[in-house]
Amino acid sequence: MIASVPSATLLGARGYPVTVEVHVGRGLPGFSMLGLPDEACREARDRVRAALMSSGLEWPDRRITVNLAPPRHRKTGSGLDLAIAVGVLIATDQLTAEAVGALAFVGELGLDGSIRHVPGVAPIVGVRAENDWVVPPDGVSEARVVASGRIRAAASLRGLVDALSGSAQWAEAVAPVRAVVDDEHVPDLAEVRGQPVARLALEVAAAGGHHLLFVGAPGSGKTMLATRLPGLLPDLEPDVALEATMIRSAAGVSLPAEGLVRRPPFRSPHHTSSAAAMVGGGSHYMRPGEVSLAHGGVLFVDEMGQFAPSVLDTLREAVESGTVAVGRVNHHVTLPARFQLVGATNPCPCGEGSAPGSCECDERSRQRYLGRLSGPLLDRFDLRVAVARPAVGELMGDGASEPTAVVAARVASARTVALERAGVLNASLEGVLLDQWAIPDPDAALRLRREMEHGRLTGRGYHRVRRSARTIADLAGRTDAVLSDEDITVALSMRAVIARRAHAGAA
Amino acid sequence: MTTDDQVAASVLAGLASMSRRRLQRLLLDRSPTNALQELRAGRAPGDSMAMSDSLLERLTVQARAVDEGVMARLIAESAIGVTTVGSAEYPQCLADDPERPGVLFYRGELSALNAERVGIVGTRNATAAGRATAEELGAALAEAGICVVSGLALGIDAAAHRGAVNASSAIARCVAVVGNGLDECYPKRNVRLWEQLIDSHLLLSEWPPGTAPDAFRFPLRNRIIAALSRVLVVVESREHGGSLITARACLDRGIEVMVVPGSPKSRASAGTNLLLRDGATPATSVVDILEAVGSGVRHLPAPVSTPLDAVSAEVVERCAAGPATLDSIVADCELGIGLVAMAVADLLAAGTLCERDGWIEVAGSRLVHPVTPQ
Repeated sequence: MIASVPSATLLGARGYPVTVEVHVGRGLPGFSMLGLPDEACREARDRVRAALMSSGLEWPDRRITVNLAPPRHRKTGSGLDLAIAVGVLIATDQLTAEAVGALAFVGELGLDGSIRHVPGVAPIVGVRAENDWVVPPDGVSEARVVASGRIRAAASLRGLVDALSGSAQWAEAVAPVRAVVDDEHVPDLAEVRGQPVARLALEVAAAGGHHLLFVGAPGSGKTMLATRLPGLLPDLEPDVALEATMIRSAAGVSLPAEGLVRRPPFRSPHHTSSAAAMVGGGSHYMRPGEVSLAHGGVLFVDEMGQFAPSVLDTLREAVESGTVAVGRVNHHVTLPARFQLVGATNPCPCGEGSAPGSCECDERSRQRYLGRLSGPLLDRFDLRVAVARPAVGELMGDGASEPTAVVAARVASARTVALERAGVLNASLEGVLLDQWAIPDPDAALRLRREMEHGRLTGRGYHRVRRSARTIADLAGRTDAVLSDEDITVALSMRAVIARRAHAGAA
Repeated sequence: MTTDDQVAASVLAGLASMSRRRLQRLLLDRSPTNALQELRAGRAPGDSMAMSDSLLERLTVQARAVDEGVMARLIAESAIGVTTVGSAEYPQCLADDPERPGVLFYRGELSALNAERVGIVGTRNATAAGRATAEELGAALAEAGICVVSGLALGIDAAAHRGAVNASSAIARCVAVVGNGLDECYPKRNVRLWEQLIDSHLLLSEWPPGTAPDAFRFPLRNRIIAALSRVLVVVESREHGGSLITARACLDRGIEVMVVPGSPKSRASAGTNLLLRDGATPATSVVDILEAVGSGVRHLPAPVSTPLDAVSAEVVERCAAGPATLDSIVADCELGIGLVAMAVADLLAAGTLCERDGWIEVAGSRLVHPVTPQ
């Protein structure tokens, strides 16, 4: 007998349809699997056999051949277990093909016949969205986000067989038992005391989509500030939300209870992360990396100077293109990676000093340290702000700071203005649009000219300053095309020159 | 002193197990050539030198390992002068010091030491205001005929030398005492100063050419700066800075230590403020130092300053208390970000303030220019 069961596997953040063909016939008892299964996939044989037997079903003492079609690309992971088991059951007449119909299956089998969650249910279901699917109970919410067909949950193989053969009801999809992340809770800006300029920088970054760098000693609140940025950003656009959901599902990162990622994610990779961890990779399965997990949200790169230079390079490529392309010998995956970068770094290797003259690190070691971020990557930051530890009085004072909700409202209206004006956030204003909507007034133009003549501002910096000044003006409600001297000056002052080479002799 | 003696003295000065004190006692009553011969033969030179067998053995092995030809070539190539304690050339001002170096290497004009000498020392990682202060001091002292002594380190030392070397109407030379051999410049960044000092000033070291700038040599170097100074001025130092070693060496010798006061909020002034607390004399102007040396006081013209508006004045006052971020200026002055940013930008453009890695500090010297009655 032969059976054919639809399913799908995962590559990167996309599903690839797979048809599981099972043939059970005469010959020496045995099990062979074709169609480029990887190691985890090949192990399905023993899991499926044990699951069938412990579910009171029969394992045929015949020749079993499983083909994963199309055999072109490598199948990975344990998500095909369930489809293989159903295929064996049909091929041995323990289930009828009519009872199964066009149902597609995804899930890993336990030796006791339980059906377990696998990463990537959303993209797997999404690639055959019109099918009806049977998924593990934990995968129901994310599957419903992408499916147009009906989603069934099955907690065990026995229950599945009973439901398919009509002797029992389908299990109600119960609330997921795995930990769910509470995206709604982000720390509030009201908890940040003092630091008016750093707060403004955060607000400008949120409103204009500018990348932001904090430079300051440990304890100056860089992380505290950065974690407040997602709270200032509006909900994700529907298409971005879907992409973010797919990516998170594929990476096996927990999803919100309702399945869809609505709030901008916040990712904070450790500085020992490898390049593969940042952009994604792995030999067969291509797990999405941190830059993709931050898609639509904030990538906070703390201790930037401690990251390997090669990792920072990959980061820069992602920032430039908004996608990452990961290639291996036989497959090539492009993952979305449009995020807002927030960097943080100590000003010098000892971390103690930030103010000039406050530590042992001399000019050279400071330059060597900050020099690791110099050049093109540093240039991507429209906003570069030095932060200092707030004074005790500010920390202890009871003067309430503005809460996230108030700032987020200003950010939302500034974003609306920018989007209505040019269709993009101010950080992406280019060419004609920039010249049309960011015109420095005569005083401001004079100031910019002077900065450029003194070598404190590069040509590219000139455009970047105008973009962030545009956002500053928008936030203040000055939405006409002209930028005042004050807007430009504030934008300039939030673009500290970092790791400048001291001119000769200024030791 | 013969060339052979010079080479032998250099070899002795470079032996790893030769302490500074033993070296100068060794050379007091015999020629370097003789002392080196004795050591190489495995004999303790002279019976006044109590020396354990193991030390003698180490010194013998080390002395035998040095190639005199190489040493002679290094001395000749860099035109390094060598003088030993007791020889006629040896500077008188060092000869009476209890911790005088046994062998002194020099490049440049040894006569620079004939003038009245003031040491200027401070931290390598200085604030802009600290460097400006040292530079102004260096220039003003050189113009008053005083020889500036310092250590050619980055930061304050280099600024003091730069001021003295570049002073338009200098009538005294300046002296740098370094902790490495005189054949190679260290730190590399000061290579221009190094060359200027060789050309028309003076470089001193107690280490033979080829000696690396190891960390332990700098505290030893500091005692020579102290010994050469009539008055020592510490411009900026943190609470555990090397300049405090120099200050201690001065106090041991009864040399007056003066300190440029800094803000109690600035960490770069923590060590100097400790010195003030312990009784050092504050130096708030060049005149203070000239008076301490007993040199003729000149009336320096006060630089013309333009009056500042209220916001700018407040910003400058905040920055004078120590380097600040824009954040802390806005928070401390309780003014709008726009207002402060504009004031800071104008003050940066005017050169009153300067900026490094987002930190804003006062660019000018901290010295005052007292108006004296005519």
